Amino acid sequence: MSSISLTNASNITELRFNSVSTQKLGGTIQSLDAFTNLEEFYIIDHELIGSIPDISNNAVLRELNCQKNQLTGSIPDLSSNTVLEKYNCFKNQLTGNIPDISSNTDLTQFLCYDNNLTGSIPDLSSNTALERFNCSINSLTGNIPDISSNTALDRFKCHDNNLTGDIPDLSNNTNLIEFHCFNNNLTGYAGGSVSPTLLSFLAFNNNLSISAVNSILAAFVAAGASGGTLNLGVNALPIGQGIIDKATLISRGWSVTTA
Amino acid sequence: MAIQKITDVDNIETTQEQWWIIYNDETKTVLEGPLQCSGYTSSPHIMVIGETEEELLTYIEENDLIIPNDDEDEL
Repeated sequence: MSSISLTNASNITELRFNSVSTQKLGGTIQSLDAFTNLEEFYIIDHELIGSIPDISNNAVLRELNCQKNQLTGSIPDLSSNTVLEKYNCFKNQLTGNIPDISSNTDLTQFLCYDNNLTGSIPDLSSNTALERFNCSINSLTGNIPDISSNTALDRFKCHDNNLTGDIPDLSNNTNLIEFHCFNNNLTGYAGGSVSPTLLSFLAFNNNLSISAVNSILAAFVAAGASGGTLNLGVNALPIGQGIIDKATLISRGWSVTTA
Repeated sequence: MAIQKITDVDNIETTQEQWWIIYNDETKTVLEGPLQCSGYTSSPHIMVIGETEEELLTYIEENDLIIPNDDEDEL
């Protein structure tokens, strides 16, 4: 294993360290401050330790990909990175909070799953270009934020945390394909419609009420789609119309699990 | 206990201790799981129930099934 030492190269716009199974990089990632014109940084699936680099001097950075390493510490401040489109740091050992990303209005992808992050999911209302958000498999608390501004969102995953409160209203998320919030402590559903594009909704192992379970089943019936997957197991039992709605979805080719 | 492969998935009861998957036999794609979740499941696809996650991962490998991970695949 060898350390990476990056020298001053202000004319470099892209840095990629491809992973080869027999030759992974170790050591730490040193400062990217000198790379003032860096647009893309990839250092995926190595054995790197230490912190994710601070990118406050990389004002034109569009992509940072440092997933699948052994990085520790917290995700740094991203408020200077106003053209950032993709920030991927999943499968590391990161701690601390997810930072404020309200300045990152071009962000389409933020994947920080499978770390040791704490605190709450940040406000996403400024991230109107966001298509994928995955903060699963951490120790996050608090509510799932309002995602009604995130109309470009196609995948939202926050499963395996300690989240509480309601599943938000998804009426505005007309491009949503997957919404996974299982293995949390969610209790309710804010109501509203769901898009017929939403074909994978996994909310098992929460504390959803009868009203929430029935309302979710009704929303999927109303959406009219066929062939999706809906898992509401280990929540309250559907009753009355909820049972009829479950049968309706099954008749449309859905895979449905309830208590 | 052996793996159970269920092709007529009509209100199948699972316990919290069991691990299971649902997969589409045409596309060989795992739609759910491996997961632990008690409840009653109906599906037009195939359900496989086992005692451990490892049993199901072995089943997935031996039957050339795919667990999609869009977040990793499209990078």
